[in-house]
This record gives sequence, C-alpha cells and structure tokens, in this order.
Amino acid sequence: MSSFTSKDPNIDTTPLTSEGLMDRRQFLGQMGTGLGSIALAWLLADEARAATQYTSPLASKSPHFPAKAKRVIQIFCPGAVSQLDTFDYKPELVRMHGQPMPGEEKLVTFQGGNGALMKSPWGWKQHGKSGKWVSDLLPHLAECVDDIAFVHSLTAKSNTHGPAMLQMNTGFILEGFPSMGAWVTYALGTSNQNLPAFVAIPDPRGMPPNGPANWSGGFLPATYQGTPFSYDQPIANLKSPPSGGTGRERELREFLDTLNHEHLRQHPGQNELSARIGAYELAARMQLSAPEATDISRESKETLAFYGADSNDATKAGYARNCILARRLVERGVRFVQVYCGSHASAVDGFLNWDAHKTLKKDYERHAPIMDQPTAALILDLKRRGLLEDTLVLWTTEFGRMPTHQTGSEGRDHNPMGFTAWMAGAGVKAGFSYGATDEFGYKAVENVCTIYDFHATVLRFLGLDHKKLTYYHNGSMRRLTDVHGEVIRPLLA
Amino acid sequence: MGRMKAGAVALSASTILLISTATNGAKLSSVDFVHETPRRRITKGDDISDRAISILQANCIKCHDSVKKTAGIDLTTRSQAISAKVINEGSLSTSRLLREVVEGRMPPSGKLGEQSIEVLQKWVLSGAAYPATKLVATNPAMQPLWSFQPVQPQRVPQTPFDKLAHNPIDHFVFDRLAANRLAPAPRADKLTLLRRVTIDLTGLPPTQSEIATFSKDTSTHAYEKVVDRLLASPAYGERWGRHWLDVVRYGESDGYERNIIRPNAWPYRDYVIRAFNKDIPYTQFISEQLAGDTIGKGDPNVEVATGFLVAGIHDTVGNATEEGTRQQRISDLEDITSTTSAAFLGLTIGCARCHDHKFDPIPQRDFYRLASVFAGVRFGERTIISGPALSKAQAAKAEIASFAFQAINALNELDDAARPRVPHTSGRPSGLRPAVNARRNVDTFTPILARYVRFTVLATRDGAEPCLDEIQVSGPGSHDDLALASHGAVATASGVLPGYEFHQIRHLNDGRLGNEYSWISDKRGTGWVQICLPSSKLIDGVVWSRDGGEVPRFDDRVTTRYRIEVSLDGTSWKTVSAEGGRETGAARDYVHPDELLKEMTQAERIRRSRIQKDIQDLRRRSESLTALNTAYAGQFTSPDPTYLLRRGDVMQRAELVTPGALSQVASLEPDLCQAPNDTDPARRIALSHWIGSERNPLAGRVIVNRIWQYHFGRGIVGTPSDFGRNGEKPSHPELLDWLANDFMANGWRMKRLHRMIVTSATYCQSGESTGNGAKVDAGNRFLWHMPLRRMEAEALRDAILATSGKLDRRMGGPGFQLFKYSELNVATYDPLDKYGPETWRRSVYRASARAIRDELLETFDCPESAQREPRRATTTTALQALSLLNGKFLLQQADFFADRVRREAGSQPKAQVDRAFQLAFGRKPLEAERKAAQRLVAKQGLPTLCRGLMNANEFLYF
Repeated sequence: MSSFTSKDPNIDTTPLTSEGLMDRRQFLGQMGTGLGSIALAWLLADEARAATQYTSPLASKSPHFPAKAKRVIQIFCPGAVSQLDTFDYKPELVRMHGQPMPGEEKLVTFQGGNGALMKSPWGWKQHGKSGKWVSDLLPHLAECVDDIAFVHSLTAKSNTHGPAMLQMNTGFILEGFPSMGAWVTYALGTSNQNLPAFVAIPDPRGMPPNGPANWSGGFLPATYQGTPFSYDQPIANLKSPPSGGTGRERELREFLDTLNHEHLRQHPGQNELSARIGAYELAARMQLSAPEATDISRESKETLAFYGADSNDATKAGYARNCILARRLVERGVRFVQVYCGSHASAVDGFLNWDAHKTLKKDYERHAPIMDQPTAALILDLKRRGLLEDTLVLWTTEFGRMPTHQTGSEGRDHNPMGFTAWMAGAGVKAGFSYGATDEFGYKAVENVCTIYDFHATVLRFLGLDHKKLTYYHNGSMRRLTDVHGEVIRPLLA
Repeated sequence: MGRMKAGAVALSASTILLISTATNGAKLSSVDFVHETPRRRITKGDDISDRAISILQANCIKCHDSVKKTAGIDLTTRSQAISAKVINEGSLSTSRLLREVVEGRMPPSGKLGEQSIEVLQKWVLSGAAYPATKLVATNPAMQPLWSFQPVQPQRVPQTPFDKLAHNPIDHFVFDRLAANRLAPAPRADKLTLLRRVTIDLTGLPPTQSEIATFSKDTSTHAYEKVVDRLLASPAYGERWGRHWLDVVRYGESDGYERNIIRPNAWPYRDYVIRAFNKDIPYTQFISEQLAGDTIGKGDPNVEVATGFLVAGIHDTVGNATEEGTRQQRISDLEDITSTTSAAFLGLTIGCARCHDHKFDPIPQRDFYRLASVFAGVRFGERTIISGPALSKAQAAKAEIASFAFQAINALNELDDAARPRVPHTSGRPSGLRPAVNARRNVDTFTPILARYVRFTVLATRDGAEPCLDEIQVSGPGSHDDLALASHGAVATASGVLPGYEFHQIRHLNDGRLGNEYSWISDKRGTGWVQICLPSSKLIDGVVWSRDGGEVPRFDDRVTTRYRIEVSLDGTSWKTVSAEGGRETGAARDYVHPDELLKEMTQAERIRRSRIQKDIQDLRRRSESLTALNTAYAGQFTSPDPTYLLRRGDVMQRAELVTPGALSQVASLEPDLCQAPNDTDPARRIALSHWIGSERNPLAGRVIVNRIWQYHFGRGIVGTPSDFGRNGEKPSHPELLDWLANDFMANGWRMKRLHRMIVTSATYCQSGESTGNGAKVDAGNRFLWHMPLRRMEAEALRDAILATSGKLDRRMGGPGFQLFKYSELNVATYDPLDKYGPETWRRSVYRASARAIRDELLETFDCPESAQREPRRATTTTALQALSLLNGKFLLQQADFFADRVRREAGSQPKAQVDRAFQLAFGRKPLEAERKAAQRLVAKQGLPTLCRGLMNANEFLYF
C-alpha cells in the first residue's frame, strides 16, 4: 500500500465536481452514438428551458445546524463480526483460554450451550500513533487506526440476525421502518439529482439477510428508499431497450411530451401532472449520468490494485470494485451509500457472511481478507482526495460474538451485549476509542451505548437533531431513534 | 421553572384587553394590581378557577409537586405556591407563573395556547383560588377524545346549493363549501365519470363495449345502472379486497432473515375478496376475521378468515435464550393486537406497550388486556378441513405425489441417458461408471433377498454434512419403488442436522425429490440412513440423489464415498455396492436442460416435454388440494398467561391481566371474560362483539372513513388508522357521524355506502378549478372539485394487461410469483428473466412475499407489507419513469398491445392509431395527436407508439 501516494503521476487526483456536468458532457461525447447524443440533446434542451415546473422532493435541503459531514458511506458486515478477533483486544481472554468464564459456567446463548473461554486464533499488535491494538487478521485496516474512532460498548436489542440487522439499519427490530439512509435523504435531499440519492451496494456473494428491508424507505415516500446496484449490477431499467430504429428514444419522448402537454393543458393546475413530466426529464438525465458514475473501468490500474480489485479472489475483487463505486458515487454528490461485505446466510453458518458458529478460524480467514484491503483503501483514497473531510465512513455489524466457544465447536455464538463499530472522516475524533467491554469482551461495561445513541451521533455529524427529524406515521411522529438516543459527544472532534 | 428574568413582562394588547374583561370593565389604574378581595377557595360555579386548576394539573404538577418540587417549587397548594413567590394573587407582573407561561419557557413540552394563558391570568387576577385538597397531576392523554364520544345523530343541513344535491352527503359537503365561500364544480363529462367510477370500484379501466353502451344510454339512470353493474362485478371484491389487505399488512412470507414463503396464505386473500363481493355485514367481517375458526366451524371458506390474525411478519429463527424467545412472542402478540386495534378501531395501541399512551386515553394495562385476547393464537398453518373430507383430500394428494414422483423419475432417466452424450461432461469415455452427482446415481447389484438397506456416507465432496433427498430401492422385474413410506417402509438415520424444519429423515422415502424434501446428517462428512422394508424382498438396485428435483439447484453436500449394505435381520450385513468403479473427479451435476435437449432424439425430446407438462399439471392439482386442507390462518392453543410488562421489558413481568378491551370508552364495558382462564375462542368472540357493537363509537366511523378515503383520495379523517390525538381531526365531523349512523342503521353494508358515495353530486364533480377554490383550499379538503388521481401500482399493472388484451381474469387460488424462489435455510427470491402468461392475472393474485420488490410495483408505491399501510403515498420519481419506459414487463405488454391493435384495426396506419388511442384512453386522438402518432409509427413502428401511450399521464391518471 505504501507504493500508493498522491504524487503518483498515473493517478488522476483531481476531484470531480459534485454536479459532474462537465465530466458528463465529456463522457457523452465519448459515447458518440445512440443514447448519448439523443439524451444529450434532451439534456441541453432542458437546460435551455431554464426552469422546469418540477421541484424534486430530493432537492438539497439544509440541516438543522452547520455540519462537517455532507454524506455517508456505511459499510455493513452481515453475520455479526466478532469484536474479539478484530478490534477489541482482551489479554485476559488469552490468559484464561480454556477455562470456564467465571460466574457464567452454564451460559445459554442463541444457539445453545457454551464451552470454555476461547482466545482469538490471531495475534495482536499495537498500531499507529494512537497505539491501537488490532488483530493480525486485518493488517490493512490496522494502518488506518489513526483515522478511526472505535465504539467498543455497543449493545443491540436482539440476538437474532434478521431483527438485529434491522435495528442497526432502521432503529427498529421490526420490518417496515425507514433505514438511516432514507431518513438522511429525507432530511437533506441530494446535491446531484441525476443519480439516486441513496444507494445500496449488495455484496458480490448475494443479498444481505432481510434483503431490501435494509435500505427500505419504510413509511417514508418511496422517493427516499435506497436504490440497489453494484459494479456489475446496473440500476434497474436504466438502459433503453436494445434494437430499434435510430432516434427511437428521442422520438418516443417527443411524442410523449406532445401527449402530456396536451393533457396538462386540459387539466390546468394539477401539479402532479407536471411533476410526472419532470420525472421523465430527470430519468433521461439519470440515463446519462449513471453509466459514467458506475463505470469502474475509468479508474487507473493503480487505483484498482490499491483497492485489491485485481485480486485473484473474485469476491475480494468484487467488493473492492464496490468500494471504488462507493467513492465514485459520493464524489458525485450521492448522499448515502451502503456497501455490504457478506451476504445472507447459507446452510453452512459463516460460509457467506461473518456468522462463525463452528469454524471461526477458517471462516474469518476467508472473510477478513475480502474486507480488509478494500475498506482500508477506501478510507485512504477518500482522504487523499480530500473527501474524508466531509464524508462520514461507518463500519457496522448487527452484534458481536461470545468470548466462549460454542459447545462442541470452534466458533462463537451471538452476543448482543457488547460489540464494536467504528466511524471515520468528517468531524470524527480520529485515533480514538470509546467505551469498553469487560475483561473478556462479553458485556459492555464502560460508557455503554445503544444503537439509538449511535444513530443519534451519525445524524449529529450530518447536522441533524435526531429528536427533530420526524415523520408522522400510524399515530406517531416517528424518529430513527424511536424515543431514545443520546449523541455520543466524545466522538465529535 | 427556569431562571427568572429580571424586569417587567411585556403584555400583549390582547392580554390587556382581557384584563379589563376579567374585571367586568372596572377601570384599572394600574394593570399591576387589583384591589379586590381575593378568592382563596374555589366556590361552586367558579368556572375560571376550575379551568385554571385543570391546566395546572395537566401541565405543571407532574414536576412541581410536594415530592419532586422541581426548582424548589411546589404548586400543589395555594400557600406553597404563594410562599414560593410563584403566584402573587391579583398581580400579573409579579406572578412568576404567568411570566413563565406567557414567554413560553414553561411548560417544557411547549407553550400553552392563548386561551389557557388567558384563563390562568384571569384566575390569578381573581385571587388564584385553590380547591380544598392538594392538586394531583393529571395525564392529558386521558382527557376525553373526540372519537371516544358516542356517534351523534345529525340533521341534514340546508345549503344554497341544495338543488344540485343528489343525497345527504352533498348537503353536508355543500354546507362546508358555503361556509368557506366555495361552490361545487360542475358535473364531469360522461367519459371522465365512467373511467373514474370504473377504476375506483373495480380497479380496471372500462372496456370498449362498456364505453359504447354508456355513451349511448341517454336514460336518466344511465350512471346508476353503471354503478350497480360495477358493484355486482367480481372485480369489485378484487379491488376493494386489495385495499383491505393493505390495512391488515397481508403478506405471503414470514419476513425477517429467513423470509420463508407462505404458500398457503392466499385462502385468506380469497376470503377477503369473497367477503367484499358478497357484501357481508361489516360486523360479520369483523367476527369472522377474529374468530372464524369457531363461528364458521365446518365452513372452510369462513374458517380461513382468521388468516387476518397471522397475516403479519413472524420471526422463525429459533432462539435458545429465554429472553429471545419471550421477545419473539411479544412481537407476535403486539403485531396481532396493534393490527386489530388499528384496522377496526383506528387506534395506535402499540404505543401503550411500554407505558401509558402518550397522547390517547389508552393505559398500558389496556394493551396487555387486549394482547391477552390473542394469547392462544400462534403463527402457522392449520388444517381447515377435517374428517372424511380430509382423508379424501390426503388420499388424493398422496396419489398425485406418487404420480409426480414417477414422472420426475422418468424425466431423470431420460436426462441420465443423455448426459454422457454431452461433450466434456466427464472427460473421455473411460468405461467406468459415471462419477457421483447431485442429481441421480444408480447402483445395481445381483438380486438378493433383504429386509434392510443401509446407505453409509464415508465422505462428502465439500466436507459438509451429507444430504440425500431420496433413496429408491428396486427389485427384479418391478418398476415400483419398494422403499416408499407409503408402501410401509420405514427410514431411520444416524442423526439429523438440528435447526432445520425440513431436511428430516421422513423425506428420505417420501416419494418427493428436491432439497425441500431431503435429509441432512448431523455429522460433517459422514452419516448413515437405513430403510426397513415391510417384509423381506428380492432387491437389485438403489437409486439415490442429493437434489433430484425437477429444477435442480443444489450441488453441495454431495456424497462421494459410500457403502450400500443389506441385511435380513438388521444385525448381519453384506456390502452390495460402493463408489468403486466410478469415475472420480468433478462430475457436472447440472448440465443445462438445453444442452441435454441437443443430445436427445426427436422422440426423446417430445417425451421429455410431455413429462414436463404432466409434472406441471400434477403440481397445480396438488397445490389446489393443499389449499383446500391447510391454510396459513393461525393455530389455536390454550392461552398463555399474560402479564403486564414493566417498561415493556419481557424480563420484567408485573401483574397477571385478564382479557379486556379499551377501558376508556365510556359507552362499553371493557371486561371481556369472567375468568383469566377463559378459552381462546371465547376471548376472541367476546372482543369481536365489543368491536362490532353499535355502541362502539369507533368501528363505524373508522370503516366509513376508510371507504370515503379510497373514493376521494383522502379520508374525512386524514389518518385512517389513527383517530387519536396524533391523528387528524375530521374535516366534516357531522358528515362522518351521519355516515356512521346510516351505515350501522342499515345493516353495516358496504355496497350501500359505495353506491351512496359514487352517486353523490360531490363525487360526480369535474376536476375543473373554478371560483376561488385553488386559493382558499388548494388541498381540496372541502371537495370543491374532483381532481385526477394516479392509479395505484396494482391498478396500473392491471390496466396495462387489460389494454394489451392479455389480462387473465381467473379468480382465486394460489398466487402467481414474480420471482424465482429457492430456500436453503433462508429463502432467496430472484427476479424473473421473463414474465410468462401465468403472471398476467390481476395483481391482487401476486404472491406478495415480503421485502421482495417487483420493480414496477415498488416504484409506484406498492407497500412491502411489513407494516400496515392504511394510506398509500403517491410519489413521482425518475425510477418510475425508467421502469415504465424500459422495464421488461411494459416492453412485453407494449408488443402485445401492438399485436392487438393490428388484429383489431388492420394494417391502415390511421386506423391503427385511432384504435390504439381508443384502447389506451377510451377516446379518439385529436388531429395533432393523430399526426404525431402516425409519424412515430411510420418511423419507429407500432410497438413504440403503444409503449408511449402506456407511459402517458392520461393512461395513469383517472
């Protein structure tokens, strides 16, 4: 990674403007034929029209108070990452390895009985100026510790993946509530109308547990839900149908315009009708912007290598490309991006995600290298481009794992009573650790905090008061933080 | 109270005016002090003091009582208040209480209303009289709520527009129009009206013949005839049933992480459609959904109504901890309780799970009392028919399963024969037996007499626990599978992988192939299964597979090393076959059927497609039988005790509660049962009577408001499932009560209400913006016109199908799936590559699996059915435009639409354009439109025109 510096002449370090208009025009010019030129004509005509009657519900809005963070990238590792094998160093666990956990000899957790305390199979070292202990499992992220604020004392309401993932993403353990990205988009809109405001990037291995409920708009209007796509799965229906005469799309749209304007003339004063005309214009612009934004091949070879996108491990290369995509999207003004590292469960626990019930060592030696380098590269790349100053990067999972091993196995069961997440970037106190679990890493004991607190803090970074960000639904002024949540002030730089 | 601000308080002009009123016009030398004998004790009829004390009790005493004494202030007695210098009798500026409230620093929940402040000022000026007893805090939420008051009889008002009125609805609406200096819009034209009422009542656009008939019918009651026809159409129930399914969060999968599909949930959907079409009284609709199992016993069509109770999400992931298990159970109960309360009563009782409701008169106890009504209800399927009918159905199903088994076996044999012919399947021909594969493996041996057959797995390819979906045993000269359980054979195993609902040993010889009907060992890489035949038989072969289903999906857990042994007595064994002599290396388990087809002879191909069709037919027959005998309509057990949970925490059980309804509805007795151990059905029946009582102030108002909402786009109460303080107040309270009374007095019939609404002059107005409506009431709360509305997602999809001519109107039965389903511990739903004719039914028959979003329906605000959706949003987005311009569904249907136009209009471009407009919009094109359309057709073809028409605003709005 050290070979990657901002002085590398092969890498274009000029950040794109958030609107990216110039770049888009260049891109269209390059496309030469077909959609590009048609849509460009459409776009220019639209610009010339100066004012359209359509005000997007996603128009950029001001936060409650000034804030550094303008956008968020949330990395989510489904399956529950073990804090004890990654970022929460517990020397006592090494010392007591093989002995029962004192006072908890007959502990029953999610899948059943527990055996003795089990030390992490990996060694630990201190890193960076902050001297943060990180497991040898994550050598690349270990180099980023001075940019990160760790929260070691999180607690979750559920010990089951589905509800707990929902809580981390929506604040509630029930389905049907808006995700954090939807709330943020509802509050702040987006600075680039030509791309979806909230994007969810599923893992190359498949959809996460609960599927689209993780980026649901819940009861918020559909505009605010996440749009799923990834480096190899384009936005649904973005492409015009193949085959057909030249100019077909343009002529179709002109015809549609004729019909709609006549219809509007006969139904004056109905704003919804003009809004729909506006939405078609926006769709045309999205057809132009999105392919450029999602085109990873425009990245230099060095950048691809830096993220690990050239890896022989197809999953790692895919996740790396998704991380690059995330950066490209926030560069272009997308408000909120979720990136998943791990997918839904399979018949074998821990095979497709971090749910290491039986074979911790084998599972994490597969998952950690996929996550480590690309995630670290994302932070460094954002930093190098000056984007980390106003981008908040979150690393989350649904709960932690037990310091004991599961009876009859070499894995760890679910543990919602103390786990780790971290933040980096805009306004975050870097090189800092907050809260602590007990000597074995079992329960949060110091500065215990909830997911509500975590959410309140994220909103605070974005300049939003979590108590004021509300939406009426079925009898309540709903909030991301329900009726709870305190901002974790020590995390603010 | 906060810090005291120095200096005098500026009083507003209205406050000063008020002071003069308060002192009966006595001239004030100073606003600061009144020289009157102050009243210290409240006397009878002292209205101002009574009101002031209520304000203090509702807003101040909670913090400023003699225990908490926040900021050292105690307002519970007059002497304490005066000694704390908070009240200075007769003085406004030196009474700190008044300064705090006037400047809005107190109470902390927000500034009091002007009227309340005036009352407090009058009270202080008059001497700040207190009652004899100490003040206690009252919960403002417990104050009477409008919707808890009995439905009031209403007189139909006279209005300046009475000549235009068709029925009493119009009088009430016109009354409000007149009061706001508005006037009704003129009546809409015939075509607009026909399209409006047809889509509104049936969710489908009018057909060409319906348009022709109506435009020709000049009789006085032409419109009323249309209304009667529509209400009698079965499409009415499909449309309005869909609305109800939104209200009750109906979905066809469990939700959460596993999200397993519920293939037998649809009988409830059909029940709802039937109930609307039959126009059963609403009270019966309530009772059947709450207790159809009991009151409809013996009638499967009614018994399935309890699908209502369990239509919501349900976490099926097992949890070994007590807390986790209790949490799952209370989540289930909260879902049922909240849905019952929201759907029938328009109340948000879920807010009272952790504490008394913050806004509405619902104590926490009420939540648990109501939850206790459902304490015997469990999520799951239930056998709906029983006795001889059940055994008959089971026998028929077993027979079908046996046919299907034979058919799939025959298919596998054909494929097996073709597989070696596919180039590179297993390298060069070696003369060896083929390598083991997931799909089908045959081991033959010299015939031998045996009673026991044991299959021992010694290794799996991936090291995982082995999986076998079937072991078939053959004998010489017989085509039958001797190992089938239905022949009396019994399967046992070394162990079964824990934690999975399927993968049980019974599947090893159940005559069903595929992953869902398979066994998995509990040991990695090893395990054995054994078949005990009913008697000793001559056998000569074993066929075994890991996933031999019709659509193979799984190739993990495949056995690579094994031993087949037989025995007569179960103790001494003889090995008859093993993996020896097979090719090693990776077999291609799943050669794509297309590749196989290429290698088949014509005769084989025909035979294969016949078998496939047979399998499909058999599956359909089997599904409809399943539907008859089981439904996802809940299971009923004897109720668990229900405890009030402190702060809603499942580990903090407080007192035991008995079943009850709402305690604060004065017109009804809340106790539902005499004893806490009353049976489960008794509880639910009692609740249904409580809800459906004519003295219930909520049930009637809530349902008439829902129906109103779907007709006008917005309810008289804009929050249809919230008649509490957080909800909206009714825009026409008198009309709401008149409708509720009329509804209840006339047998709670919905069709009667629909007829009254859609024949009202209000409903028949045009969308024109006349007069000052747009200025005075842009949101059209007072209904001064009827603007266009966008179709909901389902209606849009149905309209596209109706226009293309492909709509399949078959009603009921299992739904169609807009996804490919697979299940391996958790369910996955992949989008379809193409939409076949089975998906061209009305959208209400779509299998509405949760969190699975169809890109067309989803972008048009179709809810994901995890939560109740009493009122859908209508958003307009770029993704909608993309979905409708470029989506597979629309492109396919636009092609069909073009075919239809060609068929019906011939090859003349003008005739084609005219026909296309007629089919899409129900009208001929204007000259300019015709020209533009003809130009488009000439250059880009008819399908492009059709695609355009289906994207037009006119197509989507009605």
